[in-house]
Amino acid sequence: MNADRELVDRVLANAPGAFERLVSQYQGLCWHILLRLVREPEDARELCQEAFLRVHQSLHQYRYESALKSWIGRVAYSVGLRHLERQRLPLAESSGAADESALLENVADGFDLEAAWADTETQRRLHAAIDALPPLQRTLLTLYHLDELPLAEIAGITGLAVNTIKSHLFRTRLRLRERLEPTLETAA
Amino acid sequence: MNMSRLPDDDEIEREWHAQEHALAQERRGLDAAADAAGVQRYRLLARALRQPPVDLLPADFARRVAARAAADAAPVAGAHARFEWRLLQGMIGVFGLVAAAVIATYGADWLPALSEAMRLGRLPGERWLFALLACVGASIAAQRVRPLRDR
Repeated sequence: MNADRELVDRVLANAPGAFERLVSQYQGLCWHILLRLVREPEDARELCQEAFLRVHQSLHQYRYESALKSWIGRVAYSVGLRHLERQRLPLAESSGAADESALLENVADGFDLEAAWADTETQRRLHAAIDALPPLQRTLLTLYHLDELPLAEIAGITGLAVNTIKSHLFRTRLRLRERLEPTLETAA
Repeated sequence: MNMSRLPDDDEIEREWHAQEHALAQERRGLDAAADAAGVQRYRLLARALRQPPVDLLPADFARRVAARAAADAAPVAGAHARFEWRLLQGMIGVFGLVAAAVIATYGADWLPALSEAMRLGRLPGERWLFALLACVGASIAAQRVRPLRDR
């Protein structure tokens, strides 16, 4: 928190290079959030710039109630949400729990992790399935797995309750795992 | 008829644990041979999700955004300074007009007394004058000290 405070003070005092340092420090997180939310790299780049310009304008309102990382992540997330609203794109899709029992029971034996990882077709299918997820689910998975943020911090960024995030993570991973189960064609 | 049922809490808890276990094993880079088939599938998923995106921000992104932020902020700061200066000029003008009106209205009563006091070498309300000078002095001193503290 002290490092956050020092950096914020330097940016607010217009110290040379301070804002550039802040951007370099947090651009990775903002990029992951926005790229996962809007998917189009060109749009994500513009929104990332917009998010940091907004951070620059409103940094004097930051009250150290959360980590600077979460605060900046929240700004990026809200910029991404507004873009989705303008494009009339849905953030998430509701998934029923009724068919989850079948998914939980349907686990085939025999799976070689390293062989599957080496198989480019399996990797391609998996990445395609991840890309096809709704924006919210994609973003939550990325924040949790790639950025390794704890659930409470993801809650701070997205404004969702921790249990809601857990539920999204659980269901999305369960459905993605299903894609790795052998189909009737491959089993035959 | 296909009667789908909701999973119970134990099933959900077991599966959540498998997902989290796979993630932890993958983060530590541990051998997967001993893991169950379900956990291994979750480990493959965790491995794919841990891969950074192929598309990246330009290498000079931070420098460009900082330059743009500075360029956007400069006219705003200039506009604020101009507004403050005009406001100050306006207030000085209003203060001058009010002072002239007060002197025109009440000056006949206290101007002779003031000139008489000055002729005798004594100012009316000397203590208040000293208090005013002390306030102005303290304000100037505070302005001088602030840059030293922020350095």
